[in-house]
Order: sequence, then structure tokens, then C-alpha cells
Amino acid sequence: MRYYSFKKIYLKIVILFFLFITLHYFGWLNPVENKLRNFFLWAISPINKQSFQNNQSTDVLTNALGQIDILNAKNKTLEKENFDLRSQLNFKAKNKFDLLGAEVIAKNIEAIDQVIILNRGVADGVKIDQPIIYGDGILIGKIIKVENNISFARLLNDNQSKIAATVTNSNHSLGVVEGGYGLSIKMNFIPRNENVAIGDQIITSGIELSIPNGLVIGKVAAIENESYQPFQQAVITPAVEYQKVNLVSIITN
Amino acid sequence: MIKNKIIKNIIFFLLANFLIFLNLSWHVIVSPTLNLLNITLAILLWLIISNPRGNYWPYILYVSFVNDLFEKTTFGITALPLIFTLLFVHWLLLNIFTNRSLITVFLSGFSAVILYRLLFIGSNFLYYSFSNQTLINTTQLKLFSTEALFTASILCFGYLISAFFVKRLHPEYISHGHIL
Repeated sequence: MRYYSFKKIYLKIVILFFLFITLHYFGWLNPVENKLRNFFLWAISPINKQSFQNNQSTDVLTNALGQIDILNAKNKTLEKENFDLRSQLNFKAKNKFDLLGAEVIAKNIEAIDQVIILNRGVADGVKIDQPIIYGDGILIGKIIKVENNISFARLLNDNQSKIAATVTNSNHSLGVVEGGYGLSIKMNFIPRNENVAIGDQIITSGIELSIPNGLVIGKVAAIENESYQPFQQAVITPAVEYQKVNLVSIITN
Repeated sequence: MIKNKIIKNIIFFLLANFLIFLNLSWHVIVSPTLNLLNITLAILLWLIISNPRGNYWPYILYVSFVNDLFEKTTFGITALPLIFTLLFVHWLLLNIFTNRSLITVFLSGFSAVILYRLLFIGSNFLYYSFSNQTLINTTQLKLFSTEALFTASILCFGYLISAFFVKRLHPEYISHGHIL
């Protein structure tokens, strides 16, 4: 069998690949990378906004043939934005945190990751591990990567997300809230002898240095307490649908 | 001749940018299930399958690096599996899967996604410095299998449509009297 030789091309591609990586880590590609990133974020921003509008008022847009319906949809979106901003202001007034408002500008391009891109970065004082909240103190994730003008936040339903939490029951049961590929959120490591009921609220425990206690995560939707397992597990209904979140706040202190 | 080359390169560059734009928008527009279609891999595979001897590698490098700017991991971690998967599939198509039946196209697509995911897991594992996270679990396996099936099916469909038009419109094909 005669093997078709593409060795030279393959070698060139591999060399070019590692050359780009090296140039990136020396920082020589930074100006080009920033321009490209800004250009693509600018290009997808109308789609992102439209998608958010659709999420907010699907029921109206499904029949949106007339101008009134379209105006209603826009009105609903503005109402929602107003409500979000007001509840974030409420939260700021009630607590001593420094909040930094941010907008969701894109999503991570890997389908299995539940990561959002925010329009705030190092220049705005954003740091890794800072919590992201929505509305009146609902925790939705935390910062995992920061660039100059943007940052990446991992949502609670990502498979690598792990947050120390507590149940608002009589035992104040402690556990770890873990995500499951965008499909679910579960609270693990709850001692089996403690009573957890459906509808109990889950809040952050404050054990982690970067995440204050009392931030709302969600409510218990189901409990899995098997006799052969050392801990019980609670399936959580998140306090907000992460797909519909557009305006968030970053706790910076 | 040079003019043609320049025009071809401009078209390729525009298409590469369009692909990046499409990939970024795809995850915003579509539902979480449709989201599992690996659109970049599907389109680049279609390009390689349709014309294995084409000069598109600089644009493939460009697409993979720009996509990496929107990744949560460090630069290069996602580009590496993509480039090496495409190089492997390219070699496979030139040396092993030399005919272009629908099964060949499906197998190329399916094996490409599986290889891509294995390399992706490997590079991520190295990136997180062997941290105590689970390397692979059943949910992940289910998602990857769905992604592989979905991407390979869409690739087959795209290949069928493109082959239909290429055959119908190819001047050599028409001149030999296969049509009319």
C-alpha cells in the first residue's frame, strides 16, 4: 500500500501551532488577540441581546406579528432589567459588599461547560474566585478566569462547580453544592441523620473565604437518602434560571 | 493566477471568520440539546473530507486559535485537540478511508469527535495538574456519545447535499455525459 505523504505539511502545522502558543505566552500576540476578541464580541452582541429578549418574553414573541406585541416584548425586557437593577441595589443597601455590575456578553463555546463571559475584567478590579450574584443576593457562580476587559464565570450547574452550602433546617446541615453538566444541581455530603425536607432553602455557608454566607442558591426539590451510602443527597431547584440571566453583580470585597 | 489565489484566500479568510461567528452565536441561540452539535468540528471535517488536498490549514489554525480566546481554559488547551484531531482525520482519509462512502464519512466524523474529546479530557487533565476531579464519568460519556452521533449525522447530511451539487455542477462530470 502506498501511503500518501503529507509529513512536511503536518510538521509545518505542528511547528506553527507551538510557535503561536509561545508567542501568546510571551504576550506578543496580545494586541491582535484583544482586537479580535472585541470584534467578535461586538459582532455577536445583537444576537446575545435578541436571545435575552426572547428568553424574557417567549410567550409574547410567539405571537409577535404586530408592532404592539414587539413593543410589549421590549417593554417586558426593560421591566425585567429595571427589576434586576433595583433588586441588586436593594441587596447592596442591605449588605456591606462592594458590588460591580456586569453584563453577560457571551457563553463559553464548549457545550458541556456552563460558563458565561462578562464585560468586566482586570481593569475593573475583577479577580478569580469572586462570587457572581443575581438580583437580591442569588448566587449564580464565581469568576474562574480574568482577562483585561472580560472575565469568565463558572455557573453553579457546571460539572466542575463546588460550593460549600448549608440547609436552612433545624440542623443547619452542611454540604457541598455541585453542578451536573447544566442538567442539575445537587447538594452532597449531608449527614444521613439530619432532617432535610423538600422546599428547604439552600444558602452559602460562608466556609469558603471568597464567598460570603447567606447567598441564596435554591430550594430542595428531592432527597436521595440510601441506606448503603454514608451521606444523603438533595436535588436543588435553582433560585433563578441561569440561561435567562443577563445583568449580574460581582462581589469585589 | 495570482489574482485567483488572492481571491481564494480572501474567501477562505471571510469563511473562517464566519465560522467563528457562527460557533459563538450557536451557543447563545440554540437549546442545550442542539448545543451538543460541535459545529466547528463538523464544518472543518466536511472541508477536509470534501477536499483533502486543499490549502486551508492556515485558516484552520486561525479558527482554532480565535475560538480559544473565548475558552475558560488557558490558551492552547482547546486548540490542541482540535488541530491534532483534524490532522489525524486528514491522514486517515488519505491513507485508510480512501473511498468516500456514507459509512466512511460517518465513521470519520464519529471517530473524530471521540478522539477530539479524549484529547480534550487529556489536555484539561494536564491543565488542572492532576487535581482530584473525576477524569470521566457516565454522564460525560453519554454527552460525548450524543455529540459524536449528532455531529457525525449532520456531517453525513452536509456531505450528501454538497456531493449532490458538486457532482451535478462539475464541468468534467457534465462533459462526460453523466447528466442529460
